[in-house]
Parts: sequence; structure tokens; C-alpha cells
Amino acid sequence: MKVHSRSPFDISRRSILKMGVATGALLATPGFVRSAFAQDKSKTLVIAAPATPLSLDVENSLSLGTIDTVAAFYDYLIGFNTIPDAVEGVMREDLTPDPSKPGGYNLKPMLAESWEYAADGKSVKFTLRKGVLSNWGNELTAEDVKYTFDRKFEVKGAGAFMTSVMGLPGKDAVKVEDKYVVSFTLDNPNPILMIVCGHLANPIFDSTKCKEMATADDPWAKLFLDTNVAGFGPYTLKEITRGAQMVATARPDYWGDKPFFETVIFKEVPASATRLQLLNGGAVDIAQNLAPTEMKSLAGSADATVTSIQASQMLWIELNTAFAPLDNIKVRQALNYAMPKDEVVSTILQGFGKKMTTFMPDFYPGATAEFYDYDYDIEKAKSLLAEAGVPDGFSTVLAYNAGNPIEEPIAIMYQTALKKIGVTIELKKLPAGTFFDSLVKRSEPMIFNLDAPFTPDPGFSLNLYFHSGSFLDFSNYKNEEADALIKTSLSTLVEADRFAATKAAQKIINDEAPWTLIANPGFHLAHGKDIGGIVYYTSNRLNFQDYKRV
Amino acid sequence: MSDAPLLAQQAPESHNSGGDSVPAGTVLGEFWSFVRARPGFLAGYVIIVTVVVMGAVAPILPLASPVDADASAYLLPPGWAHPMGTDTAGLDIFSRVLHAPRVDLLIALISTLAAALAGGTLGAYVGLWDGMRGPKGWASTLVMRTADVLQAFPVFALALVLVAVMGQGVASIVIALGIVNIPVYLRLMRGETLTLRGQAFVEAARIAGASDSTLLRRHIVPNAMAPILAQMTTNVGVAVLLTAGLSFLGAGVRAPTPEWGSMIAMGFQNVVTGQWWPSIFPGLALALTVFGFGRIGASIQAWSNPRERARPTPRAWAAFRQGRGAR
Repeated sequence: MKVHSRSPFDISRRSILKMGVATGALLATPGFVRSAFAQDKSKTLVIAAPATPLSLDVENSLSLGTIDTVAAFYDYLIGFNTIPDAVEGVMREDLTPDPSKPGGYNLKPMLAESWEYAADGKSVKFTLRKGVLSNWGNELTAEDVKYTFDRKFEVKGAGAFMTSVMGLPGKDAVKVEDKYVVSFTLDNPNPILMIVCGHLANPIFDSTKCKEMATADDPWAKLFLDTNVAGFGPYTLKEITRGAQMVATARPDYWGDKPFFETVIFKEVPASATRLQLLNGGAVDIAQNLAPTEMKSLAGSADATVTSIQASQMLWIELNTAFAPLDNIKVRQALNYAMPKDEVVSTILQGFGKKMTTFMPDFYPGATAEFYDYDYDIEKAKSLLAEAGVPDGFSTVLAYNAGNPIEEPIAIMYQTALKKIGVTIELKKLPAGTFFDSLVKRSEPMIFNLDAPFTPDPGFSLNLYFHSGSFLDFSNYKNEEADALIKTSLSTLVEADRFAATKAAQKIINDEAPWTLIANPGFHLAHGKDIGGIVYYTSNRLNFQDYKRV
Repeated sequence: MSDAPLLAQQAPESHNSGGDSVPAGTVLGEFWSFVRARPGFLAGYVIIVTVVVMGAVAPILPLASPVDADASAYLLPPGWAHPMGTDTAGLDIFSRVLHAPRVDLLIALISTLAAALAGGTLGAYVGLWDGMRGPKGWASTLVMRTADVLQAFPVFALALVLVAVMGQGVASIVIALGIVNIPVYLRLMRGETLTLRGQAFVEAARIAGASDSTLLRRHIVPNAMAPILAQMTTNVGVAVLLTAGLSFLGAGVRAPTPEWGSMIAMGFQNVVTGQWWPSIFPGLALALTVFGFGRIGASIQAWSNPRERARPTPRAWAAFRQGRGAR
């Protein structure tokens, strides 16, 4: 018999198969996947997000990815101090009103080390921190603050709304007093001027770099800031490939406390199921925006967990008063009584959230559920429809966002409930882009909305959604008395008067029901058990510089 | 001339340009014997008949409502009360799977018929006029170039764009699927017509003074129908798949209309957390239906091919191998 001797370097089909299996096993190892993302696990934070930022310029975009990344690259004049949350190990902004403090809240210095707030509420003078460098090495001066607000007036993006809310009459309202002092002067008192300065959409730009990158066609460096950063925050941008990933690195020359994580990899993983798998496999530290059932599945996980925090997010249906019969208050009230909120929270939200009982985040100062009476009551809904003159019901359309997996089942559940009072709704599933277009154009009789007012103030919140002049008044709601009360709350400095006005406005809005209230979904961060340092912000964003490995 | 059964006319020697007619029952009977002897083909008919019956009787069966949510039945696994479980809106999967063919098959059949009618008619004229001078030749060229343009786009992408333009709804899907399939029948019928128009019986009819429409209606189209029919059955399956695909992407029928694609879309995210039933059951129903139509199409193609038709059945092969005689 002839025997073939084999060299150790002979390659057979079997050996190729063995090598393939071994390579596959190696690739499937969480550690290998992570090392593909980053070299140093302990100092690298990997986040699986639904989308990379559409733009890094807040004037241009306040989309999901932008909200989560902008505070890493930019700092603000001031911020809220933080206090322990009800959830152990979690901190949150201290929103307790404190009339003894300038601006009425317990604020902390950031780029501004001190401030003088005028007693008449019509001006504030910020003294800037000295020696603060941008990611381009330029020192922070009052010119940067001036440039930032001039840009808001000129670019007319989100900044146009911000300057209006701050009550700035024009570019001259922001004045450079000296190299490190800048003042804001208003025509009328504004009780929320200080806290709006800390709004996510008010970061301070490095004017030197921006001016350097400006061109005749682009005098405010919009193109540059779309894909680059010029700020004074703790991180700088290493790379961004839209649709793939963004990498941020900690700045060694940052003025404040150095972040724990030296590198942050923000990867776009569109499917929530894949984000869950990556978290479960240890390939990422944070998986954003998981579905309720996915978050629930982490209950038994040895390596990952979900931190659930009371948050400013609200989920509701806009009842567009421009469409009959939604212009009838009793019809809108009936639609509220027919929404099975408790069932939605216990089933579709899987308990991740709670029934919505206020027309602003319920933990904001001045928010009250005192007037709420919209628990599920079909009989009451029927009698209200009869009183409204439509005892046999009516037909209308409810639009929802295809990009939010919980909206379709809620819409179906609501449709079934409304059949019981004779109301037929046709469900219209809209792709995310079309959905937001329809929302802004107010072209649908009923449409879902998931949003939050970032500034924790009742006047700000009510003004945002219910003042007839607001661009976010998607239900076309108008009540002159409510408008006047909201205006009062944003122009008086006496806290008791402000809150009395917002309480009266909430009663009117509650009674006239321009929304079908659904739920406060909360803020839920799915993360590895070794991730700590979580701080909740009312903008519902991630804040890379807070996190650490524990 | 006769109205002879189409399936009998495929073989060149059996063209029916004025010869004897074959009783329909006989040919259908032969075809049925051919299918029955081949389990691979028979399975397709069994599946499709089952699906059609299922869709037809679903409304009269004592099932849970396919469109009304039951908040107390959120994402329940398969059990006695809900044989296929429930989804995230508390809808009964079993009831929805049974009701879905009413929408899926309706869209697929109407869009396929419309595409075959429009594409087949155009293809017949284009084939007849191909190479002619004057307006007929130009029209033929124009139609073919338009078809080239339509077919330059991926079928699914084109359907998606058409539905996006026309708006969500059954009518939009039917029109979109019809349009994307027209070139298929156009080319098929054109090819058949090009072959047949040179045949002696067609030439004879033309010399006898038959007009273009008479030539097509009485001599060419009846003899070109077998491949069209085979294509249609395959196409129905593809149309079901496309409908499901459009619904999966949110461009299909409106929720909560029972439709397999939208059911898969609504449930697929739960698979990773262990709730497989909202998407697996409609997925299986969809796969079986597409498979069934595929087998029916294959059986018609095999029947229309004399060589395939003469091939021994599996049972005959088995008998031959066992030495009990063959054929």
C-alpha cells in the first residue's frame, strides 16, 4: 500500500475548513469585535446609535445624532448644577427654582465664570473664564460669544428661535464690554434668559477659526461647521463618515475636568435588534433607542443593563384644530377619553414610561396634573361626541412615523378603541422624512409627535407648543387668553405670578385638549454594567464626558 | 378557425390555424394527469388551492378579528386561544395569516392580469410591426426603447418610487406592479410573435387579406399563450413577494389590513428577543405561496415542452428500477 507523507505546510480542503471555522470563532468573540473598533478598551467608549449626526452645526440640525454629540465638542456659558437622581448612581440637573439666585435657578459656571444679572431682568453681564482654548488652540474671548449670537441672527436656523426666546432685539443686544466680558441687553424683562443661555442649541463657537474658514459664498462657515467643529468642549472631532461612524478624542488642553474616556466611537447601527446584539455581545458600551421588548430582554443579562430615568420626553397625538370636527373642543376631549393610556404603557411600552397627565414634562417646575381627567372612559367619550353634534362619529386620518416602531401598535390600539365611539380613523404610515414634513406643514388631521422642551421652564414649554405664534404649534391651537397667560409667564420676574399664569394656562389647555395625551416614555440608557457616571439632561442627550468605566 | 384550447397549441405541429379543435375537457384532463403524476408540480396546486380557500372562507370562520387590537393579548405566544400567538398591537396572528391572501392574492392577480393584458397586446403588435417601415415600424421601436428605459431600473426600486408618487394604498400597488411587469410580457409576446409571423399559416391568412388585428387575434396570440400563462403564474408569486416587500418598507397597504409583508415588518424586530411568531408565521405563508405559484408555472412550462412532457414520471422511474416494467 502506498502511503503519502504529508508536509505540515500542505493545505487540504479540510485544513482550509478548519482555518475558516477558527477565524469565524475568533471574529465572533466580543473582545475581537471590540478590538476592531478600538485598541484600548478601558479608555474607549463605543456607542451603537441609530444614526450618525446629520450635521455638527446646531444651527443646521437638531436631529438625534447631533443632539447626542454636540455637547462633547462645544461648551456653554453656564449649565445647571446636578443633584442625585432617584435612580442610584445617576445624577440629574437641579431644576428646583431658587429665587435667591440670579436667574432663579441653581446654575453652575462653565465658560462664564461669573455673571451679573440685573434686578430688572433686562440685562446680564458674563465674565468669561481666562485661558480657555478651543480645539483649534484659539483663546476664548467675548468676541466668540458676540460672533455666536451674530451668527444666530444671520444664519436664521435654530438660532432665530433662540434669540426670540431670549428676547434679544437684535445683534446690538450682545455687546463686547472688554476682552473677557460680554453683556446681553433686552428691551423687556425675561425670567428665563439665564437658563436659555445653557440650552443645548446655544454653544459658543471659536470665532477665529470660523472666520478663517468663511468664504464669500459662505460667510458664516456653515459648510465647515457641518462636518467640523470649532468649540471649547472636552472633545475634538477625529473623523466623521456619515452613515458609518464618528470618532471623538478627548482634548488634553481642555479647561475643565478631563473626561474618563479618551476616545468615543459613535457607530451608526440602524437596526435596534443589531444594536441590542452588539451590546449583549460586549462589542459596544451603549446601545441607543432600543425597543421596549429589547430593553426588557436585558433584565437577565450578566453584562448589560438598562438605566431608566424620569425624562422630559412626551408622546402625544396632535389634534389639528384646522380640520373639522377637530375644531370642536368636545370632540377633542372625547378623543382623549378614548385613548387607552394605561394599556399602552403596560403593553406596548412594557412599563418603560408612564401615563401622560400634563401638557409639559410633569417634573418641570410649575407643571400640574391637577386638571387632568382623561383616563380611559368610553361612555364619557360617547356622550361628549353626542354633545358635540356627532353622535354617530366621523372619519379622519391618523399619521404616524414608520421610523418609530411603537407608534404603529399604538395607532392600531387607538383605532380599535375609537371604533367603539363610532370614530373611524385611517392609519397613514409615513417614512421618517415625510413624517416630519407633514408634522411641520400641519397637513394631517391627526399626527403623532414625540418631543421634549429642552429648557425646563413652564412658560418656555407652553410657549413652544401652545402659543398661537409658535412654529411648533402643530395642532394650530389658538386661545387668546392662553396666549396672554403664556406671554405673562415669560415677561414677569415674580416667580409666584409666573407660575400662577402657567397654571391658569394649563387649565385652559387641558380643558380644550389640543393633544391626545399618551405617555411620558422616559429616558432609557441600555449600557454595559461597567459603565457609570450617567447624568440625565432635559435635552435627553448623551454626554460622553460624564461617563466612566466602573 | 377554432377557439382551440391554448395549451394544446404549443407544439408547432399542433398549431391551430384552422385545423381540428380539441375538446377542452380532454386537454385539461391530459394536463391534470400530467400534473397529478408529478408530486413536485401537484404540491404547487395543493398549496395555492389551500391558500385561496383559506382566504375565501376566513371571514366566515369563527376567528378573532384580524384588525381589532386586544390590549390584554399583547405579544402572546402560540396557544389555544391564539394558535399562532399575537403581535405587539394584540392582533391575532392566525386570523391575520388566514385573511391576508384576500389582499395579497387580489393585488398579485389583478396586477399580473393587467400587466399581461397590456404587455401582451403591445408585444403582439410590436412583434408584428417589427422591421416595418413607416409609422408602424417607428411605433414598434418607440415601444421597445420605452421598455428598455423601464427595465433599466431595478424592479423593486421602480415599484417603490411609483407607490411613493401615487400614495399608499391597494390601487397604487396594483398600478405600480402592473407597470413594472409590462415589459416582461411585452418582450415575451414580441418574441413569440416574431417566431410565429413567419409561419405558413400566418402568411396564408395575411395573403387572404386578414388585418393586423385579425392576424393577432385569430392566428398568433392563441398560439403564443402557453409561455405567457407560464410567466403569469410565476409572476403572481413574484407580485405577492413584491407586495410584501413594499409593505415591509412601509409603502404597502395601510395598517392594520392583514397582509403578510406588513405583518413580517411589524414583527421582525421581536425575533431577536425571542418572540418569533409575529413574523415567522406570515413569512412561512408567504414563502409557501410563492413556492406554490412557482411550481404551477413550472408545470405549465414543462407541459408546453414536448420533451419534458414525454419524460417518465417519478413513479414510472421507480417502477422501472424495480424491474416491474417501465412506461
